[in-house]
Amino acid sequence: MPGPVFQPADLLTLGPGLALIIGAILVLIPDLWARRRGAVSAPLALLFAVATLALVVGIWVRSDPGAAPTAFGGSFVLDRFALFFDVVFLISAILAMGISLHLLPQDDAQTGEYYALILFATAGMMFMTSGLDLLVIWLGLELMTLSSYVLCGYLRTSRRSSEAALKYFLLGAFSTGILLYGMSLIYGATGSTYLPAIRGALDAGTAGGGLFSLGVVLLIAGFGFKVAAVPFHQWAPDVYEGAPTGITAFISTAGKAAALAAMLRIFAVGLWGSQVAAVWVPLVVVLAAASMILGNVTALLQTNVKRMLAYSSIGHVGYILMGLVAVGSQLTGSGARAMAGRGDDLFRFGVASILIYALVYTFTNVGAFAVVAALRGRALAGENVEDFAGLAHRRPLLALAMLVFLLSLAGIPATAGFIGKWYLFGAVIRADMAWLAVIGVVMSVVSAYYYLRVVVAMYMRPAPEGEEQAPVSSVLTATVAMAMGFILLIGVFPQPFLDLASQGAAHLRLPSWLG
Amino acid sequence: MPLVSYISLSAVLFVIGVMGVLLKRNVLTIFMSIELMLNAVNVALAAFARHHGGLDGQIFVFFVMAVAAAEAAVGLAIFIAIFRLKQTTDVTEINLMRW
Repeated sequence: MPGPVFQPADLLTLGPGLALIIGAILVLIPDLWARRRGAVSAPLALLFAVATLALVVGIWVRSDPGAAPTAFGGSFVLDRFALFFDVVFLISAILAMGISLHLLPQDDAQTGEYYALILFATAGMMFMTSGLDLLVIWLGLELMTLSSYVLCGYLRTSRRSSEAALKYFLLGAFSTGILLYGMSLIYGATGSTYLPAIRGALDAGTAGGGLFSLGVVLLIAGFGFKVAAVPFHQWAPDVYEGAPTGITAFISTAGKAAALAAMLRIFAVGLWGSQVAAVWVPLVVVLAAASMILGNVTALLQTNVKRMLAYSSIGHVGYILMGLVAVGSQLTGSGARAMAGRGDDLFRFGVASILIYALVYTFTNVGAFAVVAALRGRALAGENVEDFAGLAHRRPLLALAMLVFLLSLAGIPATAGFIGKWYLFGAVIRADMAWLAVIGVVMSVVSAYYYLRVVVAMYMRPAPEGEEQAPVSSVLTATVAMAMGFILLIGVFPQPFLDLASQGAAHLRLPSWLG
Repeated sequence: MPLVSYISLSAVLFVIGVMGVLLKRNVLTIFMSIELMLNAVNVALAAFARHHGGLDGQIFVFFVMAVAAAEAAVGLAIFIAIFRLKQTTDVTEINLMRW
């Protein structure tokens, strides 16, 4: 590894993640004195998340388009690719906190630990996205998942929440074992855990063979569990249904985005070579196609909206994995021919489409879960499709927001979801894999059916008589409004966001750690 | 001993762990099987580190052990929470939602 392993200046490069960890520790303190638990610490955590978001945006503005600071002997990098994902994670965390500030007091469960754990998980995601070494990526992943296990089981007197935590923990720990074994085999074959060195070994032809390929397969299986791609998805619906709604929103957006960012980093920086691509690209194609088909078709059968959104999120992972296929396919067969001479443009386009989709999906999905949270009443879980009946008459603005979120999930023009899908499908078509895009389009049509079922319930069915509804707090209103505002903004004026995504994508391949 | 012996041991441990996770019904046995998988990883990492003559793998092992301890703390807490609610450690009985 180049350079000294630790310099004091490295801590500055760690800045945003470190700020979150310090913030999380401070958030734990006020509960010792506060008369009502969480009364001080919860808003404080929100403040820290917003301040870190401002810090990340500031770092982006001052960052150099042609270089990025690295730390710890090059194993950690704060490039625009990582910064873009940091923004996604922080937005997801802030909106999830907005949902939780509304819901937790109803369960009489407002405490500082909950918000501190969200901050810890976010810091883990940031480390994972910035890692250029398998060890750093894995440690970030563990910080994220260990925090998420606790958050899923946070309502520990609720059977559903505890059960969700148990399932998430067992399958999460199992997948960690598989992922680690894959990493150890890759280390064994290449002699390094440092991604550029792994790539160097691939280029020099000193790596390869059965054990190495097995390592790559196990790595994909491990990440497949983390992003809940079919056939590794069984845990997702139960966990998403049972976890507190704020946490469901958080792990289904930021959690998946973090795992996808790490996959992109590992495959596009470390495992970049035509031989290894012949192993992972076909596997990712299968994961993408299976996730799109099974996720969307199973979502048709659901009556619980949280569970329906869980299956739909499996389908959305399929769409995003198409972007990874587009990135990788330029190394294999048809893609390589299609990209002769313009490979770098297409690489950037593919990565940028994943970045923009992660941003769009975060606003959309968290927004949809926020509306589910708003429906919760004293006697009512607010999670079934029937609970949405007549919402347009009772609360027209909330119904309108849900309409926007569902249209964006389905990918209807003038919403952000359309822009995201347009670029992902465009990327696979450019990579000469139009058949995969066809599956994606057909499945989007299928998904419109079950999203519209909720719309029909909201707008065309009468409201049940005399049902008491909990008032929606102002913080939840702000959460929904913010998500809806950005979805319409990105849907109508996508260009600035696409430019940012493109700049982020360009940084994934800064020559300094490829040389 | 040659590298292949260590890697074979690690592979056998890993497969025993995976089978344990897939076949056992008690959450504690499943968790022990997961720990076995992590130890298989440790054996492989240490053997590869020796083979390559570097320290990367050995350092990785320390981190795996530390994180496995943290994981055990979180996992056992979750098991206790669910045992209080359901008085069972059998995964097939923990099925309020479809498994």
